[in-house]
Amino acid sequence: MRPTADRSPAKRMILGAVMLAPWLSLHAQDALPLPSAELGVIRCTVGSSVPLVRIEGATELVGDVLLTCHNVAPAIGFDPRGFVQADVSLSLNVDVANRVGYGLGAEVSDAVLVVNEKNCPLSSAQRTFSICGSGNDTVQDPLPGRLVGGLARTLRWEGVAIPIPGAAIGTEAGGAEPATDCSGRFGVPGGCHPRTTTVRLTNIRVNAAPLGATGSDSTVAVPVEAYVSIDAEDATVQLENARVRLAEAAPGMTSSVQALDADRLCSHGETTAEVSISEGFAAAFKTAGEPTFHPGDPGWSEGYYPTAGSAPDASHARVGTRVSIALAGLPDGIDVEAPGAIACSSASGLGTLELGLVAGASADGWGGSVRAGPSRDQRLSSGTASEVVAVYEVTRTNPLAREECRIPFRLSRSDRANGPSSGGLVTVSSRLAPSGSPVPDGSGRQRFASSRPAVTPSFRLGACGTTLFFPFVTNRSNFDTAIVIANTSADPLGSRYQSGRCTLRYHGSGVAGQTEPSIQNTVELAAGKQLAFTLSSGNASQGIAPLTDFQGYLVTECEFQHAQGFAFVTEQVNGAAILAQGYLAEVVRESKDADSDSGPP
Amino acid sequence: MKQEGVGLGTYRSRLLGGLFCAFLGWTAQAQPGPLVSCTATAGPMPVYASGITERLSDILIQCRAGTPALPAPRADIGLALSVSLNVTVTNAVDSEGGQLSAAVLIVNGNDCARPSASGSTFGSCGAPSASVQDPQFGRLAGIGTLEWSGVSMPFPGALARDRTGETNPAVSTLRIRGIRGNVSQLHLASGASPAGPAVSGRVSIRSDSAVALKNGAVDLAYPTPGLGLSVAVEEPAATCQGDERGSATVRLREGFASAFRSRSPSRTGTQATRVLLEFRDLPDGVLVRVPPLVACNQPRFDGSNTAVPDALSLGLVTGHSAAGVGGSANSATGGSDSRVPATVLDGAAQAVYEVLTADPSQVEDCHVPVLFEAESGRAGSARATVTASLAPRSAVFVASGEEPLPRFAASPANRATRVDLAGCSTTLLFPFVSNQAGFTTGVVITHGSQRALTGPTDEQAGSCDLHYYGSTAEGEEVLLVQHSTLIDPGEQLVFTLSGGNPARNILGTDQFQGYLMATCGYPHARGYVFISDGFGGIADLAMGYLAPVVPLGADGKRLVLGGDAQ
Repeated sequence: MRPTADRSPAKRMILGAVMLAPWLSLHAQDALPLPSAELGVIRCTVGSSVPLVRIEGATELVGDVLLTCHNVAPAIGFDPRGFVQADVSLSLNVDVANRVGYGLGAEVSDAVLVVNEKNCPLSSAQRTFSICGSGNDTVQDPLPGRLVGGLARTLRWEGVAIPIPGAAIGTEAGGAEPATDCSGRFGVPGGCHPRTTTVRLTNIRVNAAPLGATGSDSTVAVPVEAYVSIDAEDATVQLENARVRLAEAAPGMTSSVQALDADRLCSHGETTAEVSISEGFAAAFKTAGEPTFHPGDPGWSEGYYPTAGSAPDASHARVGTRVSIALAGLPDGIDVEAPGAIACSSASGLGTLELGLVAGASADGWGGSVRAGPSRDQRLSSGTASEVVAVYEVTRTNPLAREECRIPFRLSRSDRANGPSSGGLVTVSSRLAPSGSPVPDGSGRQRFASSRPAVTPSFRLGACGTTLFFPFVTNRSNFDTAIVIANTSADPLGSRYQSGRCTLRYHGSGVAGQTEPSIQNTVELAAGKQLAFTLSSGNASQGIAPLTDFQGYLVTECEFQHAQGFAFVTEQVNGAAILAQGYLAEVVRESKDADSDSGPP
Repeated sequence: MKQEGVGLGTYRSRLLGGLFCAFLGWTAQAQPGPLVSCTATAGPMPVYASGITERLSDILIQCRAGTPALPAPRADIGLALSVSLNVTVTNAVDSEGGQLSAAVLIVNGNDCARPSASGSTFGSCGAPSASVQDPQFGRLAGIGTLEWSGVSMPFPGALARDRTGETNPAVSTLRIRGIRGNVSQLHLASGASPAGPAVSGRVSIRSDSAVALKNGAVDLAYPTPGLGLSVAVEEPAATCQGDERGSATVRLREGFASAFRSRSPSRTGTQATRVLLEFRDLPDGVLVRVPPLVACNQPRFDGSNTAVPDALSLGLVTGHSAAGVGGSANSATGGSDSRVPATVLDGAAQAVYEVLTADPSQVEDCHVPVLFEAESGRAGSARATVTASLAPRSAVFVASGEEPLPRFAASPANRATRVDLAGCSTTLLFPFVSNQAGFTTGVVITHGSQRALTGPTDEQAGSCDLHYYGSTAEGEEVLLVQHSTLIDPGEQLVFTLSGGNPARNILGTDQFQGYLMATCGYPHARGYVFISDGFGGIADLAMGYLAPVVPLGADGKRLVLGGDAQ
């Protein structure tokens, strides 16, 4: 037995120090050595960012999926590699539309998995550990996802090295030793992995168009959803909130049309139809070369995923959003011109949107380029086509504001047109472009559904003429008929003055029935003037010849609007009129003024 | 003694060994598991869909120790906290660096009026606890991200930092208050309700300590149309002769119960809710008059005429800009019938109203009586457009230290409603009139409105302008306009081309033939023509016809006659 005195005072000091150690160490936690952790259960919470995407879009960039992982008890032991190898899958409710076949393999897409935000351009379809971006090789490089076995809705990243949170950093071959103190050495070679591991699935593109086709109400945003799963080797990885929303799909554009002063087509040979296009939401219109959506975090200053050399282009479109505007049902002999560039101004004067007319684009909006230079009007048709298409590209936009643009289309009578314009209902269908079948190279370029909107706005062009019907005219049996045709386009109501000739078609009725009509063409009648003649005498100064023993009806077709007719039937005996009656001619088919139909938004 | 000594020694040895092993165990390989586990929650609420600076729900982060233990002294957990929105952050920011926002992080409820500008400080602003960090302003870390760095979070359940012997709460709370976002970014063009997807935020925590955050994604607000508009046109909706009978009622309706907010000293923001009414496409010469103060009585739904007093009242703002910024609201009581002219800015008649009083617990609406008054003798038929939007409007969609709070986007095609202004005039076309070759023409224009035919009426009198288009017998062109005297309801204007009617201020024309258009300053004019060669003598020939009424479009322009005409 040792004397009690042997233990003190030194042993008592040791004892005291030992007893106080936990207290002191806990009390000054920042100075406490943080040993590396063993592998336990990797528990990951799945989150996502949820942007608005265009429901017409076939290659829409959706939000990221972010797995935030921790290492929780119970521990199963030390892993010298410092990571868990797992396959990560993402299954969506729409088809994946990422680019494939760009040099890393037929099924390799440009959807990317990024570990612990180590971000650099793709260089391999296989898992690698290199110094890229962040400057160390403690975690794997970005890994492209694969479209698995022809499953269009599933992306898969195989053999992902998920760092064990808080564990000592190892290598693929292992070799790490437990670290007694990770303090100040998190995420650096020889140290430990951070206590939180993140796995980001980014640059995911989808075909959202089917959501618009199936949605009963296209005015409501439809969610793009995904389900995340992880299959790990020799470890347990648990997911919380494995089902996530990646985007809300909503209409990217609405349009309407209004004909401005359509009478000018008759009076001046030209008029304007104003097509208004409005963004469906603030970021629906995008410009080329600049990302308008940051897939990692909402933001618009730079893309999360970098572009380098020929590497996949993740964050921005190669062409700006295009709008294809088709005017169908144009009357013969109408030329259409559209401005080469437009600085759009909204009613509030707050817009920044600018559009450029794409020269050389197909009707679906593929190809061509925005022509630099002055913004003067460009001819869209030769005057014989019943449909013309203008393709515009967004050259400037504010991604934070929902903007609109009014595009004036100038409609004019072609020099080759014969006779007055017949008028008709012109429908305007606008859609985002380019559209149609994807390009066979699977490039994943921005494109949209090819279908035109179900309801298209329209406007009516009035026929530039008037047809008058005189039901009974005669100069038989001592009767004669005086005819007056007035060009009343001169009025106090601000109507545009029009002039033109009239064609008189006499449909006679004889004993043997109807005879071939007799046709006469008058001189040109100016606004405010009248043609006045009798059947028996005509009016040589106005180009109207007399008729002999005629009875029937008269149809006149005048090349101006607002013609009015008056007939005065008299019976004369021995040069004295003994009976008289008059009537106003019926306007059989006169052109409508152009009206407009904005259609539903 | 021996036994005692042995016992004590054994006890001390075991204690020593145990503590030593515990120490070694601490410094050896650590067990996995986060020290602290946190959960984020929020209470999303409706916000203006067109709002640029909408205040979003507070975010509450509750943190618990991963393994409950006996209270022990633990240092605060140092962490950095960030919130990324799916819209831009639009808080007011400091005017110098432009990065310090008015959004505040409050730890364990330790609040004060003047939060810290940088990092974590203790006891510097009079907050209740000096052992918990002071509230801290957030910094912009991106266009849609706010960040709080250097945050000190008390270790849940540990002994307090100030070593007073008290323990920290078992749950540490981090409350983020006052984030504002540009909700209009999510506003869909469709105008559906909800007007867009939810405003959401993603919370992230960075710490060298193992702090796990569950449920980092939270919904913060629901974009909701804040304003409904409808227009009821009262009878008769005409604008004639300045008699103020052209009237309409603009009905403004809250999109949700708390949408209309009065000025409150306790509420952040420079002003109360404002509504900007714009009247466009008005006929020339039409003036819009609006009441300076609107007490928003609700109509009874039981059919009685007695109005129900409502808490909502609006005051007309004077001195504002075209965007609805500035000026002051009228709050003085006035006669219920008083009207003042709306301000004409940027080609539109504008009336900006500010909410003076409102009941935040119920959805209210307000009927604003509007008068359309003709400045001149007559105004044509027209379909005016009324739009209503929240104000002030702005094109600044990011955080700013100078722009007003709140402010709103001028969304394209926002809530336009048309007001039909019935024409108070009639245009008649007489396609052929003549007093040549022995003929002359008698013309009758009747003021024959429905009311005039059915009894006493208060409809207005009006004159007729007669426009002659034609030529003389010598072929000289004639373009003549004559202006008649007033024609009262039920009266007729009667004249011949040759003799006119001096009593009605119509002069005769000499040898005229052509057509005549008559524009009369009252509705329902009708015309009749009688052509004869026997005026003043024996007539050999005579005939007559009714004059067609020239149809006018909604824009006041002439439509065509005929079978296809609308």
